[in-house]
Amino acid sequence: MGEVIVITSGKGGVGKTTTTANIGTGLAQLGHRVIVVDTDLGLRNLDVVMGLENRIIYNLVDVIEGNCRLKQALIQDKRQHNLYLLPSAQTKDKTAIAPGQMKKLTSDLREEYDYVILDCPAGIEQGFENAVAGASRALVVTTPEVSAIRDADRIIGLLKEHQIMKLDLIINRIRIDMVKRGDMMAVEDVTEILSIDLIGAIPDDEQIVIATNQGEPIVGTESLSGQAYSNICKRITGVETPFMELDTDNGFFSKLSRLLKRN
Amino acid sequence: MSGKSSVPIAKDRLKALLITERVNCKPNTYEQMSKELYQVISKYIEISKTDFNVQVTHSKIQIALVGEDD
Repeated sequence: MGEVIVITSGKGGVGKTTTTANIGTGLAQLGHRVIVVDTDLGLRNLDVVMGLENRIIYNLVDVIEGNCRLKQALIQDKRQHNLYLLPSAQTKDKTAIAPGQMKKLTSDLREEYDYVILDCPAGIEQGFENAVAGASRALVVTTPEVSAIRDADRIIGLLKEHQIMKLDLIINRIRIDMVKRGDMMAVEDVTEILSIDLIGAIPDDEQIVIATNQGEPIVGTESLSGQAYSNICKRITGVETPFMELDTDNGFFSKLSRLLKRN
Repeated sequence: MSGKSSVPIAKDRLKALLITERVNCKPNTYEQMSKELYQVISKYIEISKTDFNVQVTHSKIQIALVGEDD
């Protein structure tokens, strides 16, 4: 039986979908059978981040309403053949799905997959209720900003109300230059405020923008953010992995590149 | 812009905000409660609004009255 993990944040634009795509890919790279589900009705995005937008025929609502069989709606990833996407619908009707139906769907999916990763929509309305209905574990994504942290705190409270007790924090878009100046909260500042365990911190990395432009994952690449996602995936599977140093300023290569830039 | 770090400001604001939000009640409940507590206490003790501060920690409310023994 697989594990159902919801990726949520409360606030929009903190990197939930990118995180879902990369954690899904990363877990598949570790050899697990993985399905990622876009639960954001009306605002489909996970497909385009994964570069699978041209392969959609059926979607989540079709499966729930019985317009197709589950297997017909699943899209196999381009690279990881043990990774599948269940895309969301573009329907405007946010009430097309009820929490009970999502619970049934996720319990079917965990029969066949090691990890069922749910990309939760922003907000705390019906979409959130649907996404958390079948989950037994949650990854809360935030950025080191007051608004995102405040919303993450609300979400943590709501997840606990839903009896989801396995909660971990991902801090996204850390800018080490700003942290050093004292103008961005560091990882420790955020974990001091929020009451859940940290599972990973991801540096703000322009490689993510480039990868997303191309519909490619960043996990599995040598980039700092790619390594950060790989480490999170290992920790999800229970493999203890040391937290890496985000401050690479004193490394040989950055010294070299600074030297080259100067000249 | 001052040259000072903005992180302590962010942390202080967040901590104050989350303490009240974690009480898990309606948004104006904290204000209402503070107001009523202030009114009750000021009936018996001379206090000023600037000295008055209600802190609620999650699922644990403590009201400490500090005074001299008889």
